Formats: sequence, C-alpha cells, structure tokens
Amino acid sequence: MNILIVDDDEAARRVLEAPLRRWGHSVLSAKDGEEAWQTLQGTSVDVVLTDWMMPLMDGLGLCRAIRDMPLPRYVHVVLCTSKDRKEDFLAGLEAGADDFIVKPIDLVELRVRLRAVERLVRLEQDLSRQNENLRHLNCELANAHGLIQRDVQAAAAAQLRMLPPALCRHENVGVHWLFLPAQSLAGDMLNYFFADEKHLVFYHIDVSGHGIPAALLSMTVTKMLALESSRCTMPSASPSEERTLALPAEVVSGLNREFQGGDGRYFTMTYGIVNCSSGRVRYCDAGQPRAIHIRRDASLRAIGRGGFPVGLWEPMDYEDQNLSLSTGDRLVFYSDGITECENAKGIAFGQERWMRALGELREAPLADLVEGVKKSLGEWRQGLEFDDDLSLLALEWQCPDSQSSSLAAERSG
Amino acid sequence: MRTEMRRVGTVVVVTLMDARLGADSAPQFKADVGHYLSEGGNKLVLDLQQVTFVDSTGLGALVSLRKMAGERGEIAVTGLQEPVQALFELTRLDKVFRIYLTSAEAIEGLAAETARS
Repeated sequence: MNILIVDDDEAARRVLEAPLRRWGHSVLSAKDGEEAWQTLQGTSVDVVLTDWMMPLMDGLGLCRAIRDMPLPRYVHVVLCTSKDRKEDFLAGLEAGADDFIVKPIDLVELRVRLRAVERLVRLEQDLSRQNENLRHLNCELANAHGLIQRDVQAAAAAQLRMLPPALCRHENVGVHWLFLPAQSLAGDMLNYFFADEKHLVFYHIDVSGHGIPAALLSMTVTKMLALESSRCTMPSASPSEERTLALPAEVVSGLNREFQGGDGRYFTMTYGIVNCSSGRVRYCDAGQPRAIHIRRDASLRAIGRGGFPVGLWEPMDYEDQNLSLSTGDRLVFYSDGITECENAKGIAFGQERWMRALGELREAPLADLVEGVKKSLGEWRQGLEFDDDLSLLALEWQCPDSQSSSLAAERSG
Repeated sequence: MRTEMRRVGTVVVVTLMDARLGADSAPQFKADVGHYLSEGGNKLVLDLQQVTFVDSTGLGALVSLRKMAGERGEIAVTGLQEPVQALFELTRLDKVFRIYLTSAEAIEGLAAETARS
C-alpha cells in the first residue's frame, strides 16, 4: 500500500518509516496537515497515518479536508492519538477518521491494523476494477443496442415499403388494409397485385410469435410469393401464350412443403384471387381467423372452413374455397392479433366486439371502415402499445353495371 | 404452465392446470412433456379441461409434441373448451390429434390402440 505518515515530529516519522517499508509498503511523509493535503493532490495514497496535534492543520482538519476532496478512490485515515476520551473518538469519527491507534505506537498492533486496512483496500480495488469493466461493458452494450435499434428501424422502414398502396380502386375492386406492428418489426404481412386486367391476387400472412425472427420469416415468405407475382405479371413471351394463375391451394401447399423442418416457427395465411369482372373469389385459408363477409344488405358473417397453418405438418391437403360477391359486398381478412388484443385489464377484444365494431362501420366507405377499426382497437388498448401484430385486408366489389352509381353514392355519402 | 401427470396402465395423462397456453407458458410446457416423450413415453393424453386460451405459440408447442411422439406414439387431447375447440377446428388440428370428450374415453382409445398393435 501507499502510506502517508503525517507528524510534525521528524523522529516520530522516522520511527514508523523503517518498519512500514520492511512490511512492503511505499512510504511518504508530511510534517503537518497542510503539507499532507498538498501531497494528496498529486499522489495516489491508500492510507494516511496522521498525528492528531499539529501546527497549521491538525489531524481532524486533515480528515475533514480529505473527506471533502474529490479523490478518485477512498483514502483510509488512521488517527494516532494519546487522547482516549470517548468525546475525542467521536470527534475523530465525525471528522472522517476510519481507525485510531494510541500513542506510543505499538508496532505489532499497527501491523495488525494495517492488515485489516489492506483487506479493505484490495476489496475496493477489486470493486473499482469490476466497476470499470462494467462501465466498459455497459458502453459496448449501449453501442450495440444503438446499432441494433438503428438496424431494426431500417428493417421496419423496409418492411413498410413492401406494403402495397393503402387504398386502391381498380376496375370494380376496392382494396384497403391496416398494419399495426407490435414491435417495430412485424410478423404479419399483406399484399395484393393485379395479375392481369381481370384478376386481383391477394395474400395475408401472420407468422407465429413476433419481433425480428417472425419478421425475417414473414419477409422470406413474401419474397417467395413475389416470385409468383412476377411470374403472373411478366409479359408473355408470345401473344398466343396463355398464362395461368397458380391456384391458391397450390401456392399454399408449395409453401407448406418449403417451410417444413424449421425451428418450430410457422405461419397462418390466406391467399386468394378475385375475378374483378364476375366478383368470384377463390381463396385458400391456412389457419387464419375466418374472414368476415359484409353483405350489401349489411349482414355480417364469418365465412370459410379454416385450414392447417403452413410449416407445421406435412403432408397436409389444402383446399380452395369459393365465394361469389354481390355488388357492394366486402370481405375482411384479419390476423388474430385483433380479436386477441387485450385492454389494460387483460380482457380480449374478442369475436363479438369485433363483429359489432365491423357492424357499426359496415356502411362507411372502405377507408373510413379501416380507420374506424384502428380507432376502436386504439381505444380498447387505451394508448398502450400492441402486444401482437394487428393487420387486416379489406376488399370490396362493385358489379360493373352498378359501379358508377354506387361509387358516386359513396363519394357523396 | 403447471401440469399434473398420472399413469393409467400404458397411458400417461397430462392435465394442464392453467387457463392460458401462450407465449409465456408454452415453452416450459413443451420442455416438460417433451422430456417425458424423450424418455420413451409414447401414449399420452393431454387433458385441456382447464385451458380456455391457446395462442399461436401454444398451438406450435402442441404440434411439436405430436411430432416428437412420431410414428411410434400417439397423443390424444381431451376436455376441449369452446374457444380451444374452435381453434382446433379452424387450424384443422383435429386431423393431427385424436380428440376425445373425456380423459376416460381417451385412455380407453389409446389403450385399445396398444392392444391392436
């Protein structure tokens, strides 16, 4: 240890210096409190062994000055005194002394007391090293966290860019969607595209779990479906070549074969094709909640027979379901994040409340319907972040003959 | 998810004691029951009488166990409450698991299967 002896009596200092050095310590000396205080400014000292009565600054004054000084580490102060009254000890403790030794100093006692101090100094040094390591690690973690946050935000922005235009009216079909990720990245994904002048293809995916792993799987599925989209929309090699759309059940079966043997993660999805001229919808449901059919007469019903999720089990037969829309009919496909969305009391939004919300919005224009759903869910959640991804895809069909009149009615309404 | 296991002849009945089989409880449940399957158990009845909510993670755990049981084993489920029954139908899990109304019927069903094989 580095020990500073403070005593105005040079002989007394010398008496201590020799044994302290013999015991392996580095020794510095000062003739009074003020000189000691100066020494402490620029030197690293573990223990100050100070006399009580000294000119200029006495032992108590030095104690107080040390405790007031912003030193990088703790300095142990041992007061050497011939005082033995209780009040004196209390005054010493009050001033900041850690220990006392009675003069004349017994070297055996001094050695034992210094050993105790040495244990504390080592403990402090260990703690200080550990603190330094923790500060270093904390800094690294903060940097890594910042990097991950920036990456996740960039990925989330990329994911949002993959979404199709929000509100689309094309020919006789209107499409709109809602996409609310639980964390910045979602396991839900949806898309639609026009395969040709007559056919709208749409899909809606919900990967089990959420966050980064779910988003990565969702993006992989989306990429594979994009191949199907480019195959559909690529110009034919020759005008006579007839392109056929893959049937929804074929697409879903293909994905189910492709995504076996993963880490247990799987997804539910709906994939469908709308014939824009006839209003016929052919879709394959793989474990998504039953779609809601809102009819022109304002009745609502959950449709479809369900289906096995993708990537869980092979072989599994998937089947297409067919539906004919009447003019003004709507179809709402949604993820279970909507019905399972819990309020602050842990009560789920639930199927009944969901149907009621849609019922109240059934005659609103498509954009207002989607906004209305978002508002209802936000109110239900009472401003809390969503703990699962929420998404929906809404389609609307107008018969070509009645299209102009009903769209005009919607606009005026 | 707290579970209780009891053996009835060659069949082990696992009763799920909590109401929710979700992201927070499914991994432990899968590990517990998976441990039993890895030790050679192959006739299992999962009693879901107390379970009223299964989310996508819970569903994944159930199917994983079914896969672990593999060709040599059978897993039956019983006591499906209405929301869970609806989920099983929606996701066609009824094609993957044998479903019985009561655990007694499930035990009998699996035991009969053992006798035939």
